[in-house]
Amino acid sequence: MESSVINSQSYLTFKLDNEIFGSTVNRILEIIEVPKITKVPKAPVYMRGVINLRGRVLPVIDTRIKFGMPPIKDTVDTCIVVLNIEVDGQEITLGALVDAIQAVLEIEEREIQDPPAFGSGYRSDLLTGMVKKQDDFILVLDMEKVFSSQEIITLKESGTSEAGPKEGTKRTPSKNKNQQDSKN
Amino acid sequence: MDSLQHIFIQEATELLSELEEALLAFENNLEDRDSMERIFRAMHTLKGASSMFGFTDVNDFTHELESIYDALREGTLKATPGILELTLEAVDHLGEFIKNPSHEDESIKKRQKTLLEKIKAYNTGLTPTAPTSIKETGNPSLATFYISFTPGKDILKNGSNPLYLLEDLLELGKGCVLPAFPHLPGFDTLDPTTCYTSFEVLLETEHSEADIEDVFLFVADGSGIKIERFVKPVTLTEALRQKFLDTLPSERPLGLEKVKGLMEVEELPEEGQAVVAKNSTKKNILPENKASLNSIRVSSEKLDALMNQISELVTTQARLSMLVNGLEVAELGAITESMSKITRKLRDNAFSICLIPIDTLVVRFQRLVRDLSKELGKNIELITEGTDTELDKSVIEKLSDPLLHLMRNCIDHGIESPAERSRSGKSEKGTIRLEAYNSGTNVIITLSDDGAGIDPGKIRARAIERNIIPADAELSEQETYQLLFEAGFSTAETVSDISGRGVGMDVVKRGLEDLHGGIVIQSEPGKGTKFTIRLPLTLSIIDGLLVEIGENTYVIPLHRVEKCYEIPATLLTSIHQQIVLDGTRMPVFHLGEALQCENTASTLNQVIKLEYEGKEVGVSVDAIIGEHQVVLKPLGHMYKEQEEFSGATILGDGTVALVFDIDRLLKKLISESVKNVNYGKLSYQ
Repeated sequence: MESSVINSQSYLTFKLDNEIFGSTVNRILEIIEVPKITKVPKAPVYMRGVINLRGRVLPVIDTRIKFGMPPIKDTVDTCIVVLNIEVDGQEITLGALVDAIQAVLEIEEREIQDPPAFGSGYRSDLLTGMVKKQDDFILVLDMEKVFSSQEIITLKESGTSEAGPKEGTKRTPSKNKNQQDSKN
Repeated sequence: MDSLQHIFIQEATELLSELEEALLAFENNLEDRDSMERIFRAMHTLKGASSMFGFTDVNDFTHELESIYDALREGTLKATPGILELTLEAVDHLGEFIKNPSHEDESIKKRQKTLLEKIKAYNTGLTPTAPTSIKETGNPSLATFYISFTPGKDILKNGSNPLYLLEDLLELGKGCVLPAFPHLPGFDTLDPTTCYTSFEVLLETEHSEADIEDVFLFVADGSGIKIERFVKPVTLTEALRQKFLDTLPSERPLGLEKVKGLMEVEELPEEGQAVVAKNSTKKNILPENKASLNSIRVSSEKLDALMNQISELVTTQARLSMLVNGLEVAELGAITESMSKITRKLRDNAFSICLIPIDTLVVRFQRLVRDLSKELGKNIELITEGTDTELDKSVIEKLSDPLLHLMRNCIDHGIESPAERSRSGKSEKGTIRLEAYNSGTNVIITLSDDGAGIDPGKIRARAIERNIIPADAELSEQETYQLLFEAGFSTAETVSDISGRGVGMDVVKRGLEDLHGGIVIQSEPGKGTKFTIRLPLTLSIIDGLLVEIGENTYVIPLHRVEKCYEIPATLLTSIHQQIVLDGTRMPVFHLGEALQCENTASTLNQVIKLEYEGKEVGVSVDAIIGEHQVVLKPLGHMYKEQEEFSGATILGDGTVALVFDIDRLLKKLISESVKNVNYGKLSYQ
């Protein structure tokens, strides 16, 4: 019993499209509602804009677009997860727009399975693992890697996957959608 | 240990620049005792600090240097330009040495050795010619001091005990203390917490004068301290001591003259003069020490933190004011108003703390002018004016390199050689003027020389040759001069070591742009060149013009705005066009389209006239909201590609507005429009 306490960690799970993702809480500062977002012209499409976080100007990333998912209108459930990540040796704080927050889960280390090296349809280098909770599959993301990249990334592995298309261009979402559907 | 080293490096760097300044002053007048004392003092402090922090190499080195100046002070050595040159070289060396304390660099070690030998040569050269100076150059052996210490009346109330100070003093050597109470009131009016006693101390010690001064380091203002050194040490024999102690309390304080009189037997008369001469220079110490006690050193991180918090306060205050305006509660309104007054004062105050005068840069310039002109065989004088003009410390830090580079250009390319100058009927001595003054929320710095000037024709020819402009480009004079700032442009016929490597002028401009400043060149061939630099007073809080483009609010720095016009929207048909305003044709950029914002269907558009590289350029916006005090916040790493914006600010209602970087915005707009249309016809007309 004791050993399981030592080896468990808290994970925040959130929803994007139909997937449930998880991230360790130690990089997450807070979760806030969506305030008025000021768009920065000529920025990459996944950069939704900037918000005022108690006197700080915080960049907000539309995670759906960043992951190559089709954009949707914000709902009441839409939230901003405020994260602290390190890019090029610089600590930066940013907000990630997600469809809905699920829960904070205690997950024991042994519950986390290694991300499958291939065949799962996901880019294993961006995932730190997978967890099965009840009927859901939680994909544990490496937030640092995901958000430090300057590009739109595709979580799904596809024929042309290694890196996403160039900054500022939108990937056609239909392809991903199809793959997702087939997975589910 | 690391932090201690850091403290030392910081302190030593300051001391070295102080030293440099004093040396340059000394160069103008080799007889100047004041600067000689200043040099000696700075060296001495450096020596003390370096030994305290374990930099024995620096300690030994400065010790030798100090010996030279000690001898100069005592008059046993005559100041020559050679000594000065050597000292300057040594100061430079120390500067590098301190920054690189691991001494891994072999060349530094080597230079240390050769310099040390040279310095020692001076010191040993002293010995045979002036035998009396042996004790001065070596570790100071016994010397006798007369110290008069008149504690301030309130010294006891401040928690100091003069007796402890005297005890400390006597620990330095042998001596006797003579108390005096010249102002003792009658018993009925005597206040037991006031100090009425003054002291005279005769001290025979191996320690230096600075050590004695150190004893009084923490004595508050209002106390009088006078330290005199007898040229020839007087041995305080028991008989002599008795002689002093036998003086009647009513005769005291004895004063320097009387003490000398009592010592007469031991002292030679002609040396009295030397004491008097020193006396006059010593007087400087006290007021200077006082000045340093009145200021404290604060790390810049603390200042930055303060400024950040005040920025937040200003923003929050703006929100509060807005909220209260809608509530119409009289009492609350009054409180908010006084709060906002205090906030404004606090902001201005904190702001002024971060301002430092341009003076701090001048020493480096003087040094550069001196060294370079010597190297190039030119005779150049640097005249500075208005260098007490203040700028934000972060601006000053970043201003140094661009200014140094411009100055290097003036010296190298601007000012001609003395022969050339006299041929063209100018005085052989060239002049470089550095002037600074405030202009609104800008600071203007001009750097001008009376040298050869720049030939616009030459620039044009070179620019065409280098494919920077097409051969048929039509450029105004100012535009031609601006070509100098293009990357890879240099008109110097021969590439010299000092400037003209083709890198530099573009770096200057970029450096100034980073500071949201700009530069304009005026030049007259044969008469000289003038660089005019415009800089904002500060980078963190600016006055801005709030404008509306599409759905969003943007801020244009007010100091760039020259005029606003209202024009019918129908006049604007594309991103870029020429519009006649106030009788002049100027290019106008449609910001809404340029930024790809959704257009609001308004019938009127506002055109804001801006100044860009000496030209007039207009930008159109949907509406002008008004003036706003803007606290600039960085957009951060994620938006580093969006160069058109220098940052963002938070408005009274809590939303974020983007702040334009006018120079970068216009540069981008112009280069984009140039891509579409032939250069020189559209953007430059």
